[in-house]
Amino acid sequence: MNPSKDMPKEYEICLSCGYCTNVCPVVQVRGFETYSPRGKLYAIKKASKFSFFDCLLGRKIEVKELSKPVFECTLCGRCEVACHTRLKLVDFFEDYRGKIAKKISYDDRQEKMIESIKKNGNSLNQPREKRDNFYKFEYEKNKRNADVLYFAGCLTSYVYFDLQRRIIKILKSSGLEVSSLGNEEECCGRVLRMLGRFEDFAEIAKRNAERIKATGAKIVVTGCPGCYKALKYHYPEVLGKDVFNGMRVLHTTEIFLELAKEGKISIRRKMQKSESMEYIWHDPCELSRGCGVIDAPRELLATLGIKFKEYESKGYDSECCGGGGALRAIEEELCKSISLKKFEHAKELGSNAIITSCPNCLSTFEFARPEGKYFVYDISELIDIK
Amino acid sequence: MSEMSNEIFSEICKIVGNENASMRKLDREVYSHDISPLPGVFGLVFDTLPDIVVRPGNSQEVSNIVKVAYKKQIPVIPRGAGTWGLGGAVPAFGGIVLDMTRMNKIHSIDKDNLCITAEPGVTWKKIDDFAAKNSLGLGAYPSSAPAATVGGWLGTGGVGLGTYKYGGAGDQVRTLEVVLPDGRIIETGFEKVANNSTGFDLTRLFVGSEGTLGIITKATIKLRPKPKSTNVFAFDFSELEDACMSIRKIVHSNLRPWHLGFFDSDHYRFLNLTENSKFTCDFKIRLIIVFEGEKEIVENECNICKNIIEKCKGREVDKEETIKCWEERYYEFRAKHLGPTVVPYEVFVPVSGIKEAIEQTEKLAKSLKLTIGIGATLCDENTVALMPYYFSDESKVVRFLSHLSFTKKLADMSISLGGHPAGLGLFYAPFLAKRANVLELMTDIKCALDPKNIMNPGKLIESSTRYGFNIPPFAFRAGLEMFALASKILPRQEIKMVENKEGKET
Repeated sequence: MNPSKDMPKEYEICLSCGYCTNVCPVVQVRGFETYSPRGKLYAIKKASKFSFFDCLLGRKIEVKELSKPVFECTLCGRCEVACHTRLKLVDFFEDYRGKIAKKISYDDRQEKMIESIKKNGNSLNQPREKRDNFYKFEYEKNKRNADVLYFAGCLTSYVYFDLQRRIIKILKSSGLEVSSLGNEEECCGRVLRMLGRFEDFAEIAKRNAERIKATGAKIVVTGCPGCYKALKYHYPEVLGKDVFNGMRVLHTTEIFLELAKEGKISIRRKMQKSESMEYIWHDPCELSRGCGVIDAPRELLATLGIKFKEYESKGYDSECCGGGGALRAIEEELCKSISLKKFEHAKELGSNAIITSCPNCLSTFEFARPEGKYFVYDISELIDIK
Repeated sequence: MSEMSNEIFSEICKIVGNENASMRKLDREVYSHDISPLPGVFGLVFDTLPDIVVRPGNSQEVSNIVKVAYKKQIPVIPRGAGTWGLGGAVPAFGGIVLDMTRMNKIHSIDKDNLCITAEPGVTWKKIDDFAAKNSLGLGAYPSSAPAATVGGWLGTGGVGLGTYKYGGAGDQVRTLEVVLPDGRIIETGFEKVANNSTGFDLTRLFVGSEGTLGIITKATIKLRPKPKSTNVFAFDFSELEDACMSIRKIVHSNLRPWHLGFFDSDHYRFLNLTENSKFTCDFKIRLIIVFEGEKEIVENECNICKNIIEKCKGREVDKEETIKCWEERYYEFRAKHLGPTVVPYEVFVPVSGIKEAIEQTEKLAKSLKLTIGIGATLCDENTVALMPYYFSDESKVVRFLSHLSFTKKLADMSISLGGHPAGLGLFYAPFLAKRANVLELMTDIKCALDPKNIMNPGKLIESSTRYGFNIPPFAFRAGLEMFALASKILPRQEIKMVENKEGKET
């Protein structure tokens, strides 16, 4: 087998300067440099070519072992911001994951996830027809030319169904017409891309894009930064710039901000009252670093009159919740340890309630939350439904 | 040590905990390198693969590990972030690599006495950021501050940003806590005051010792009040002569810039080729100067300095471009894309010899068919750290090796001008042979402190092969001369053109 064939070559450019090591959430837990982007690239470089001297000196390591750390990564992209040579490390790791997984079999959990997306249209191995089970009463399905098409995403559809009902209700109570693809909506494909399955991603993107376009809605809204990144950036990459015919793609924080500025939404009374709550805003990686949506959620919170603290590392430099890059499916304990650090930092800053706007962050935080003492909210839970 | 490894490993695990020690092949491989690429063939000469990688958490753990190593005579190699390029933290005979980055706590900051006490694994950037919260800051720090650790920079005794005003690595230190090769923990100076009394300057003994005498486990670093004003400006020169003249005039004035350094236009040309940064390149040398301090004084100093430079035919660079240049200060090697390998080297030359040094460097590069960029930092009134880098391709082993002759010739050139190469590390100990008395004394000191030669052996005072013999200076010289000849004969190393990434959505 020639592992270097068709493989991306970023490891050739890596300077090994180590700027990425300190910012990597995985290194902060695991410690060893092996898990830093620099270490990963060094190992991949070893994997990429046969070295006579390595064999002679007994230093040869199997490609499978050399490539494994690539899967122990949150794909948070903080290393990209630090990178000396401005490498597109997230794209590289995604690409490498897919290509190496085709050659060498790793964990079958990933394969199951990919299978489920292909078969059921979701990554959670849930039946396709139940996708809109929990919110189908809230919207008019396939309504033509509605103001807003709500794209729920897998995690919101099957796990955080309260959230989707709430988001639709908020939008509707602000006077907007809301439609959805219902159980014709499929996984946005972001997970496929994270695991380097670009061809599968392109197929699913095409199907979703056609359905979205057919609704004739003016705005596509999603509360999931992964879906947002896929719809806003990856779909145009594979399907052309004008994939949605000029339809706007907005994250919930962006549309809520517009509505808040028009005075159409306000803070939920219950949240206003709770004085014991010290909020802190957590930037989801895909939303902040991945898509540059940094000010909107902050402005939204300020407009709603919600006082909140900030993590020391924020915006483009924010630290991951631990659940990025499908890490929870790959290394659950690692994911939990990274997440716990966010709770520790919040505590150091005097906060006990993390606000975010990402179902994946929400789910990771809820999974890792230390007993009783901490609260986690999606930003929409702080908004009133009239 | 392979038969004993398991026994030693379990002893070490007892000291640091299982999660902080590893004998995994992959971990060992990752800790067998630093920033510079070593072709596989080097493995035949040096045993760069550590047997164990350990991440100690405090001085006591370091001491206990060293005691085990001392008993069994195993090499111990302290390592910061591994951002040096001369193999100082790369094993020469396997052994135990101590990854010091777990010791990354800031112990205390003394706002009255302007100092901060931190562990060796903290980065310089973290210290500066922490100090800034207290309206204080570091006087000088390495240009690799986002990654370089306290222990690493002190171990290599380097220079950096702010060196002109506040000195090099050693000048930043009040005291060090050091674990000696037999496990004793000592304090080299005083936390609150400078060591200006009689007695050997032990702090200085460990600064720049490349970890060959002991392991720094704590450092008290001097701070200065955060400057009220910082002013950065840059000047372009069409002629090397004029640039050198203006540097000479600045160092002969009473001005104290915080930073004084320059790059040649090729450096910016490479950046433009890499990422369309659109730097102007219609000059030979671009001088960058930073003044900081009280607002009125800074203003005055800038005016005087600008006057001096203008008289030497310097053209001031516009503000936007200046800021763009200054923002690149931590990212000197962005142009690595053009290589794919970039090899930097650093020599010190006297200010009086800058012009000659640059001319000779360029001539050398031309004769060896290398594409180079040149950067430099003024370390004080009479010393220039000249940092040329060249492009190569490590996958083409013969050519890559032949290019190494550049560093040797550069070192020779610096010595002939009255200077010296910046570091010795794994490869360049033979340069010390010219100073036989010094080498002898340094060896005596090493033997006195480390009789069993366990602390980072094969570095600084000796370039030892894995077979136990040192590389003789004459063989080193002859070998590199041969490489130089090969470099002259082999085809030129062209730089790669990077595809235009503009238009691609980010």
